[in-house]
Amino acid sequence: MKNSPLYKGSLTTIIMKLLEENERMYGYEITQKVKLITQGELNITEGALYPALHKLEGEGLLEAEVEKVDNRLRKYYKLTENGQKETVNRLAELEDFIRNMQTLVNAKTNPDLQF
Amino acid sequence: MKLTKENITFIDNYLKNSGVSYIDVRYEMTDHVATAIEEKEGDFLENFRVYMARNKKYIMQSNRQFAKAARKRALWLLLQNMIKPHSLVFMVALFLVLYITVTTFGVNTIKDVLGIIYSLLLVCLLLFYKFSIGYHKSKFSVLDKLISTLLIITYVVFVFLRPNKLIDNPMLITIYYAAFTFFITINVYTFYVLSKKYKLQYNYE
Repeated sequence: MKNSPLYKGSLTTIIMKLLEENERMYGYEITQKVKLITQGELNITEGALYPALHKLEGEGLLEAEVEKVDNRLRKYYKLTENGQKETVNRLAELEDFIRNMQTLVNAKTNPDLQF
Repeated sequence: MKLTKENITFIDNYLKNSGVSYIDVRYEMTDHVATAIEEKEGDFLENFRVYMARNKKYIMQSNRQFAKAARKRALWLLLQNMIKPHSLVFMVALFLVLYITVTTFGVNTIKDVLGIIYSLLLVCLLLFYKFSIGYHKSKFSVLDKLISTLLIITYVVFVFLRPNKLIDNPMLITIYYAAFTFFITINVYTFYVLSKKYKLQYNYE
Protein backbone atom coordinates (compact mmCIF):
# COMPACT_ATOMS: atom_id res chain seq x y z
CA MET A 1 0.00 0.00 0.00
CA LYS A 2 1.10 3.52 -0.76
CA ASN A 3 1.91 5.53 2.37
CA SER A 4 1.20 2.40 4.42
CA PRO A 5 1.55 3.93 7.91
CA LEU A 6 -1.18 6.43 7.08
CA TYR A 7 -3.56 4.04 5.34
CA LYS A 8 -2.92 0.96 7.45
CA GLY A 9 -5.32 1.85 10.22
CA SER A 10 -8.21 2.52 7.84
CA LEU A 11 -7.93 -0.57 5.65
CA THR A 12 -10.60 -2.56 7.51
CA THR A 13 -12.95 0.44 7.35
CA ILE A 14 -12.30 0.79 3.61
CA ILE A 15 -13.10 -2.91 3.11
CA MET A 16 -16.28 -2.68 5.17
CA LYS A 17 -17.39 0.44 3.31
CA LEU A 18 -16.97 -1.33 -0.06
CA LEU A 19 -18.85 -4.38 1.15
CA GLU A 20 -21.64 -2.17 2.44
CA GLU A 21 -22.08 -0.81 -1.07
CA ASN A 22 -21.64 -4.14 -2.86
CA GLU A 23 -23.45 -7.21 -1.65
CA ARG A 24 -20.38 -9.43 -1.80
CA MET A 25 -16.86 -9.17 -3.17
CA TYR A 26 -13.77 -11.32 -3.50
CA GLY A 27 -10.24 -10.27 -2.63
CA TYR A 28 -8.96 -9.28 -6.05
CA GLU A 29 -12.17 -7.42 -6.78
CA ILE A 30 -11.68 -5.32 -3.64
CA THR A 31 -8.14 -4.33 -4.65
CA GLN A 32 -9.29 -3.35 -8.14
CA LYS A 33 -12.27 -1.35 -6.85
CA VAL A 34 -10.04 0.65 -4.50
CA LYS A 35 -7.55 1.23 -7.29
CA LEU A 36 -10.38 2.44 -9.57
CA ILE A 37 -11.97 4.76 -7.02
CA THR A 38 -8.62 6.34 -6.05
CA GLN A 39 -7.49 6.46 -9.71
CA GLY A 40 -4.48 4.30 -9.00
CA GLU A 41 -3.36 6.29 -5.95
CA LEU A 42 -4.03 3.49 -3.50
CA ASN A 43 -2.82 -0.04 -4.27
CA ILE A 44 -3.71 -2.63 -1.66
CA THR A 45 -1.26 -5.55 -1.71
CA GLU A 46 -2.10 -9.17 -0.95
CA GLY A 47 0.04 -8.87 2.18
CA ALA A 48 -2.27 -6.17 3.53
CA LEU A 49 -5.65 -7.21 2.15
CA TYR A 50 -6.02 -10.86 3.13
CA PRO A 51 -4.91 -10.48 6.75
CA ALA A 52 -7.45 -7.64 7.08
CA LEU A 53 -10.22 -9.75 5.53
CA HIS A 54 -9.48 -12.70 7.80
CA LYS A 55 -9.29 -10.46 10.85
CA LEU A 56 -12.76 -9.12 10.05
CA GLU A 57 -14.00 -12.65 9.42
CA GLY A 58 -12.54 -13.81 12.73
CA GLU A 59 -14.29 -10.93 14.52
CA GLY A 60 -17.62 -12.05 13.06
CA LEU A 61 -18.02 -8.89 10.97
CA LEU A 62 -17.68 -10.70 7.65
CA GLU A 63 -18.86 -14.06 6.47
CA ALA A 64 -17.47 -15.96 3.53
CA GLU A 65 -18.92 -18.21 0.90
CA VAL A 66 -16.89 -20.29 -1.53
CA GLU A 67 -18.00 -20.91 -5.11
CA LYS A 68 -16.47 -22.65 -8.07
CA VAL A 69 -15.61 -20.11 -10.75
CA ASP A 70 -13.62 -20.82 -13.93
CA ASN A 71 -11.74 -23.97 -12.79
CA ARG A 72 -11.01 -22.73 -9.30
CA LEU A 73 -12.62 -21.90 -5.98
CA ARG A 74 -13.36 -18.28 -5.19
CA LYS A 75 -14.04 -16.93 -1.70
CA TYR A 76 -16.60 -14.14 -1.54
CA TYR A 77 -16.95 -11.94 1.52
CA LYS A 78 -20.02 -10.11 2.73
CA LEU A 79 -20.96 -8.18 5.85
CA THR A 80 -22.78 -9.95 8.65
CA GLU A 81 -25.52 -8.19 10.57
CA ASN A 82 -22.95 -7.16 13.19
CA GLY A 83 -20.68 -6.09 10.38
CA GLN A 84 -23.30 -3.77 8.95
CA LYS A 85 -23.80 -2.10 12.33
CA GLU A 86 -20.07 -1.86 12.95
CA THR A 87 -19.50 -0.31 9.50
CA VAL A 88 -21.66 2.65 10.47
CA ASN A 89 -19.61 3.13 13.69
CA ARG A 90 -16.28 2.83 11.96
CA LEU A 91 -17.22 5.21 9.15
CA ALA A 92 -18.34 7.79 11.71
CA GLU A 93 -15.04 7.32 13.55
CA LEU A 94 -13.08 7.74 10.31
CA GLU A 95 -15.02 10.87 9.37
CA ASP A 96 -14.22 12.37 12.78
CA PHE A 97 -10.58 11.48 12.30
CA ILE A 98 -10.46 13.11 8.85
CA ARG A 99 -12.18 16.23 10.14
CA ASN A 100 -9.79 16.55 13.09
CA MET A 101 -6.76 15.97 10.93
CA GLN A 102 -7.95 18.60 8.47
CA THR A 103 -8.41 21.04 11.34
CA LEU A 104 -4.91 20.31 12.64
CA VAL A 105 -3.26 20.49 9.25
CA ASN A 106 -5.05 23.73 8.28
CA ALA A 107 -4.86 25.42 11.68
CA LYS A 108 -3.33 28.88 11.67
CA THR A 109 -1.53 30.13 14.79
CA ASN A 110 -3.98 31.87 17.10
CA PRO A 111 -2.28 34.14 19.63
CA ASP A 112 -5.16 33.65 22.07
CA LEU A 113 -4.45 29.89 22.15
CA GLN A 114 -0.74 30.14 22.83
CA PHE A 115 0.58 28.95 26.19
CA MET B 1 -7.33 -14.48 -21.50
CA LYS B 2 -9.17 -17.36 -19.84
CA LEU B 3 -6.99 -19.76 -17.89
CA THR B 4 -7.22 -23.51 -18.39
CA LYS B 5 -7.45 -26.13 -15.66
CA GLU B 6 -3.75 -26.88 -16.24
CA ASN B 7 -2.87 -23.19 -15.73
CA ILE B 8 -4.77 -23.17 -12.42
CA THR B 9 -3.03 -26.39 -11.31
CA PHE B 10 0.30 -24.81 -12.26
CA ILE B 11 -0.39 -21.77 -10.06
CA ASP B 12 -1.58 -23.99 -7.23
CA ASN B 13 1.53 -26.20 -7.41
CA TYR B 14 3.80 -23.18 -7.59
CA LEU B 15 2.26 -21.71 -4.44
CA LYS B 16 2.42 -25.10 -2.69
CA ASN B 17 6.10 -25.47 -3.56
CA SER B 18 6.72 -21.89 -2.40
CA GLY B 19 5.47 -22.77 1.06
CA VAL B 20 1.76 -21.96 0.96
CA SER B 21 0.90 -25.27 2.58
CA TYR B 22 -2.64 -24.61 3.85
CA ILE B 23 -5.26 -25.44 1.25
CA ASP B 24 -7.74 -22.73 2.29
CA VAL B 25 -5.01 -20.08 1.95
CA ARG B 26 -3.89 -21.55 -1.34
CA TYR B 27 -7.38 -21.54 -2.86
CA GLU B 28 -7.65 -17.83 -2.20
CA MET B 29 -4.14 -17.01 -3.40
CA THR B 30 -4.60 -19.13 -6.55
CA ASP B 31 -7.80 -17.28 -7.37
CA HIS B 32 -6.12 -13.93 -6.77
CA VAL B 33 -3.15 -14.72 -8.99
CA ALA B 34 -5.33 -16.34 -11.68
CA THR B 35 -7.71 -13.36 -11.82
CA ALA B 36 -4.79 -10.93 -12.11
CA ILE B 37 -3.25 -12.93 -14.97
CA GLU B 38 -6.60 -13.31 -16.76
CA GLU B 39 -6.67 -9.53 -17.19
CA LYS B 40 -3.50 -9.71 -19.31
CA GLU B 41 -3.12 -10.82 -22.88
CA GLY B 42 -0.32 -12.99 -24.19
CA ASP B 43 1.52 -16.05 -22.94
CA PHE B 44 0.37 -17.46 -19.59
CA LEU B 45 3.85 -18.39 -18.37
CA GLU B 46 5.32 -15.01 -19.25
CA ASN B 47 2.45 -13.17 -17.51
CA PHE B 48 2.80 -15.49 -14.52
CA ARG B 49 6.53 -14.84 -14.32
CA VAL B 50 6.03 -11.07 -14.46
CA TYR B 51 3.25 -11.18 -11.87
CA MET B 52 5.30 -13.26 -9.43
CA ALA B 53 8.39 -11.10 -9.88
CA ARG B 54 6.33 -8.13 -8.65
CA ASN B 55 4.02 -9.73 -6.13
CA LYS B 56 5.51 -12.92 -4.71
CA LYS B 57 6.83 -11.17 -1.60
CA TYR B 58 3.33 -9.86 -0.81
CA ILE B 59 1.84 -13.31 -1.29
CA MET B 60 4.43 -14.82 1.07
CA GLN B 61 3.79 -11.99 3.53
CA SER B 62 0.09 -12.77 3.41
CA ASN B 63 0.84 -16.48 3.91
CA ARG B 64 2.86 -15.78 7.07
CA GLN B 65 0.11 -13.56 8.46
CA PHE B 66 -2.43 -16.28 7.66
CA ALA B 67 -0.56 -18.83 9.75
CA LYS B 68 -0.34 -16.47 12.76
CA ALA B 69 -3.99 -15.49 12.43
CA ALA B 70 -5.01 -19.17 12.11
CA ARG B 71 -3.52 -20.06 15.50
CA LYS B 72 -5.18 -17.03 17.12
CA ARG B 73 -8.46 -17.98 15.49
CA ALA B 74 -8.13 -21.60 16.69
CA LEU B 75 -7.52 -20.46 20.28
CA TRP B 76 -10.35 -17.94 20.11
CA LEU B 77 -12.81 -20.59 18.82
CA LEU B 78 -11.67 -22.93 21.57
CA LEU B 79 -12.19 -20.26 24.22
CA GLN B 80 -15.63 -19.36 22.85
CA ASN B 81 -16.69 -23.01 23.06
CA MET B 82 -15.23 -23.38 26.56
CA ILE B 83 -17.28 -20.53 28.05
CA LYS B 84 -20.61 -21.52 26.54
CA PRO B 85 -23.20 -22.32 29.25
CA HIS B 86 -23.55 -25.99 28.26
CA SER B 87 -19.77 -26.35 28.33
CA LEU B 88 -19.58 -24.98 31.86
CA VAL B 89 -22.39 -27.33 32.93
CA PHE B 90 -20.43 -30.20 31.36
CA MET B 91 -17.32 -29.14 33.28
CA VAL B 92 -19.19 -29.18 36.60
CA ALA B 93 -20.82 -32.56 35.79
CA LEU B 94 -17.43 -33.94 34.81
CA PHE B 95 -15.90 -32.78 38.07
CA LEU B 96 -18.68 -34.41 40.09
CA VAL B 97 -18.45 -37.72 38.22
CA LEU B 98 -14.66 -37.78 38.54
CA TYR B 99 -14.79 -36.89 42.22
CA ILE B 100 -17.22 -39.71 42.96
CA THR B 101 -15.07 -42.11 40.89
CA VAL B 102 -11.83 -41.06 42.61
CA THR B 103 -13.30 -41.44 46.08
CA THR B 104 -14.87 -44.82 45.14
CA PHE B 105 -12.06 -46.49 43.20
CA GLY B 106 -9.01 -44.60 44.41
CA VAL B 107 -6.65 -42.16 42.76
CA ASN B 108 -4.23 -44.62 41.15
CA THR B 109 -6.91 -46.59 39.28
CA ILE B 110 -8.35 -43.38 37.87
CA LYS B 111 -4.91 -42.15 36.79
CA ASP B 112 -4.29 -45.34 34.80
CA VAL B 113 -7.75 -45.42 33.20
CA LEU B 114 -7.74 -41.74 32.25
CA GLY B 115 -4.24 -42.03 30.84
CA ILE B 116 -5.45 -44.74 28.47
CA ILE B 117 -8.62 -42.77 27.57
CA TYR B 118 -6.64 -39.60 26.73
CA SER B 119 -4.20 -41.54 24.57
CA LEU B 120 -7.05 -43.22 22.69
CA LEU B 121 -8.89 -39.90 22.23
CA LEU B 122 -5.81 -38.25 20.77
CA VAL B 123 -5.11 -41.18 18.45
CA CYS B 124 -8.76 -41.14 17.26
CA LEU B 125 -8.60 -37.40 16.67
CA LEU B 126 -5.39 -37.66 14.67
CA LEU B 127 -6.78 -40.53 12.59
CA PHE B 128 -10.00 -38.58 11.99
CA TYR B 129 -7.99 -35.57 10.87
CA LYS B 130 -5.78 -37.67 8.64
CA PHE B 131 -8.50 -39.60 6.87
CA SER B 132 -11.54 -37.38 7.13
CA ILE B 133 -10.82 -33.78 6.24
CA GLY B 134 -7.94 -34.96 4.12
CA TYR B 135 -4.65 -34.29 5.82
CA HIS B 136 -3.09 -36.77 3.40
CA LYS B 137 -4.17 -34.49 0.57
CA SER B 138 -4.30 -31.04 2.13
CA LYS B 139 -4.35 -29.11 5.42
CA PHE B 140 -6.81 -26.45 6.51
CA SER B 141 -5.15 -23.66 8.45
CA VAL B 142 -7.32 -23.25 11.54
CA LEU B 143 -7.87 -27.02 11.90
CA ASP B 144 -4.18 -27.68 11.68
CA LYS B 145 -3.38 -25.01 14.28
CA LEU B 146 -6.09 -26.40 16.57
CA ILE B 147 -4.61 -29.90 16.41
CA SER B 148 -1.05 -28.69 16.86
CA THR B 149 -2.09 -26.52 19.85
CA LEU B 150 -3.83 -29.52 21.43
CA LEU B 151 -0.83 -31.77 20.87
CA ILE B 152 1.64 -29.20 22.24
CA ILE B 153 -0.41 -28.55 25.39
CA THR B 154 -1.06 -32.29 25.90
CA TYR B 155 2.63 -33.05 25.53
CA VAL B 156 3.70 -30.31 27.92
CA VAL B 157 1.11 -31.16 30.58
CA PHE B 158 0.74 -34.91 30.25
CA VAL B 159 4.20 -36.02 29.25
CA PHE B 160 6.52 -33.25 30.43
CA LEU B 161 4.97 -31.72 33.59
CA ARG B 162 2.99 -34.85 34.62
CA PRO B 163 0.94 -33.35 37.48
CA ASN B 164 -0.66 -36.78 38.00
CA LYS B 165 2.69 -37.99 39.35
CA LEU B 166 3.07 -34.98 41.66
CA ILE B 167 -0.44 -34.67 43.06
CA ASP B 168 -1.94 -37.22 45.42
CA ASN B 169 -4.67 -35.15 47.02
CA PRO B 170 -8.00 -36.55 45.68
CA MET B 171 -9.62 -33.10 45.35
CA LEU B 172 -6.67 -31.58 43.47
CA ILE B 173 -6.24 -34.61 41.22
CA THR B 174 -9.97 -34.49 40.44
CA ILE B 175 -9.72 -30.79 39.49
CA TYR B 176 -6.69 -31.52 37.31
CA TYR B 177 -8.30 -34.44 35.50
CA ALA B 178 -11.65 -32.62 35.15
CA ALA B 179 -9.90 -29.58 33.63
CA PHE B 180 -7.76 -31.69 31.31
CA THR B 181 -10.65 -33.90 30.16
CA PHE B 182 -12.77 -30.77 29.62
CA PHE B 183 -9.98 -29.20 27.56
CA ILE B 184 -9.56 -32.25 25.33
CA THR B 185 -13.32 -32.71 24.91
CA ILE B 186 -13.86 -29.09 23.90
CA ASN B 187 -10.96 -29.39 21.46
CA VAL B 188 -12.54 -32.47 19.89
CA TYR B 189 -15.91 -30.68 19.70
CA THR B 190 -14.36 -27.54 18.18
CA PHE B 191 -12.44 -29.68 15.70
CA TYR B 192 -15.59 -31.54 14.68
CA VAL B 193 -17.65 -28.35 14.23
CA LEU B 194 -14.87 -26.66 12.27
CA SER B 195 -14.33 -29.74 10.05
CA LYS B 196 -18.02 -29.71 9.16
CA LYS B 197 -17.85 -26.00 8.38
CA TYR B 198 -14.81 -26.43 6.12
CA LYS B 199 -16.37 -29.42 4.37
CA LEU B 200 -19.55 -27.45 3.73
CA GLN B 201 -17.77 -24.26 2.71
CA TYR B 202 -15.34 -25.92 0.32
CA ASN B 203 -17.71 -28.73 -0.73
CA TYR B 204 -14.94 -31.07 0.31
CA GLU B 205 -15.18 -34.78 -0.47
